[in-house]
Amino acid sequence: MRAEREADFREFVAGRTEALRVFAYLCCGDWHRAEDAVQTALIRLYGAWSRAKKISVEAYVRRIIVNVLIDEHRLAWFRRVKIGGESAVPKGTVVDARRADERLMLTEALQRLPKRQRAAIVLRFWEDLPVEQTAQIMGCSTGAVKNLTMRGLATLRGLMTDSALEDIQGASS
Amino acid sequence: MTNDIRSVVSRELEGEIPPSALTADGIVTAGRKRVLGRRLGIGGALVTGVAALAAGILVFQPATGGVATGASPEPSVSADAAPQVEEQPSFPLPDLDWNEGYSWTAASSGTGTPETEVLTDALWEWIAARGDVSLYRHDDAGDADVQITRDNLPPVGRSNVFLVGDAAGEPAAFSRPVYVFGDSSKRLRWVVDGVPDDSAIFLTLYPKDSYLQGAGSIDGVLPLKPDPRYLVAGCEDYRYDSQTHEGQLADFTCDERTGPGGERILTVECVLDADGDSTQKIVTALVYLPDGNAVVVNAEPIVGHQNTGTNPGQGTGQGTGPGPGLTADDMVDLALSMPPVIVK
Repeated sequence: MRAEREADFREFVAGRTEALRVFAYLCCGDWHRAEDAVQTALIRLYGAWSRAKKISVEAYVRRIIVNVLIDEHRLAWFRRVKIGGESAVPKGTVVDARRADERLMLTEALQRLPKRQRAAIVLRFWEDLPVEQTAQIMGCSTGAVKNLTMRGLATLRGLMTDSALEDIQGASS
Repeated sequence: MTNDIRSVVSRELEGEIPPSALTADGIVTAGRKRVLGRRLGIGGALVTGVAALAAGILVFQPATGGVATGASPEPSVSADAAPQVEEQPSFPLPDLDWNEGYSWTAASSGTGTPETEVLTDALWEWIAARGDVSLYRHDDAGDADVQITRDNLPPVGRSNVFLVGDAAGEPAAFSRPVYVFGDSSKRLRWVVDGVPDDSAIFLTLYPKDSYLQGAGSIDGVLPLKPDPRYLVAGCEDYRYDSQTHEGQLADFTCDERTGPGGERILTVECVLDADGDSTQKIVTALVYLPDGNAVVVNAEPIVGHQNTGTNPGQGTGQGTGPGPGLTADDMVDLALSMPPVIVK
């Protein structure tokens, strides 16, 4: 890679790594896995950087992160099923809004969502992407994104208590 | 609510983000190694190819009038040459405006290739191993349906399918080879555990990159048709789209799991309430193979076939039975039993 292109790449890494780590964390709920996924995505991006003007770099990186985390999660789920037959996270757990560590309510509730619903919510509302771009990143139809989002929001409402929802204007409506 | 979620999450994460070990230097170093490794891989393949070409020239020189070397005219393989493994070629979908109403159309009936013969053998092995599955071919002119054996089993065939737009005369935008088992005239009947099946079973192998993973649908009446980029319709789209077709969709089930070899597996079952007192069930099992190809096994209702009750291969007709005798799990098992072959 030519020096000036590499300098651009370094600038991108320096400027975007933290945001990408947060995005990956919201998709998986584990900082270590998030960092691994971001590292994988950035290393792959290095090889594609010469085509950077022809591809949407942000979408490309997010797509790799989502794919890495969903694949990893699927395999992990498979292993859990084979060994214990129980999900690691009990379903239907209501996040207690009155617990001491009240600051993690929404991020914890996000982790209770099925992985594709969670990815759709994070891409749509954290990354603020339109439905079409979310569908492109997730490799599904726009209708599927709308439905995943709708169901994800409904699940979030069910998981959070009223007092927690008060923090999120409009979520309880 | 979108901005609220963003602001609440931002507030929750404030001060909670741990320091990162990622550095631009580390990423660049790892990226260089990856690029170099890929180049060496390609270079290695080129060196191997050049060496093989040189060896071929030496071997065939006598036959082409070159200087006789006394070498045997038989093709030879160098002692340290590794056996060549054919890779699955990629058939990437073109960059199109997918809202333009593209659809797939087959150019010809299937032809046999060495790969399709392997699949036909595997299909028969699966049927024979089941013990409770038999196949019959209905013949309008005959007195009785003919039981299918390995000798008269319709083979898996290779076809080219073309992606065409909805405008007449428009050239095909893309084509892909597929290997297909199934009888489009729906005369092939499956009998499962002694019960004639009301469904026609199809098995199709699609090549790498010629589809998008997951389920995707186009708008329209039920049953939903797959978006041309996808291999199955449904899952989330069923509930979403069915809101405008109240009463037609009786039930649907979608499942995703991981196969024994890490394969991603989707199953979609859709039950249509055809006319208030009868149902039609459509079942699709989809296995994404590690080599990038995908196997789809689907069961479609056979509608309008008269049942005389005299032939074992005949169904109950009208597509009003309880659904295919093969369950979604059976279809996944059938798909997984297909050996890896190159689709080309």
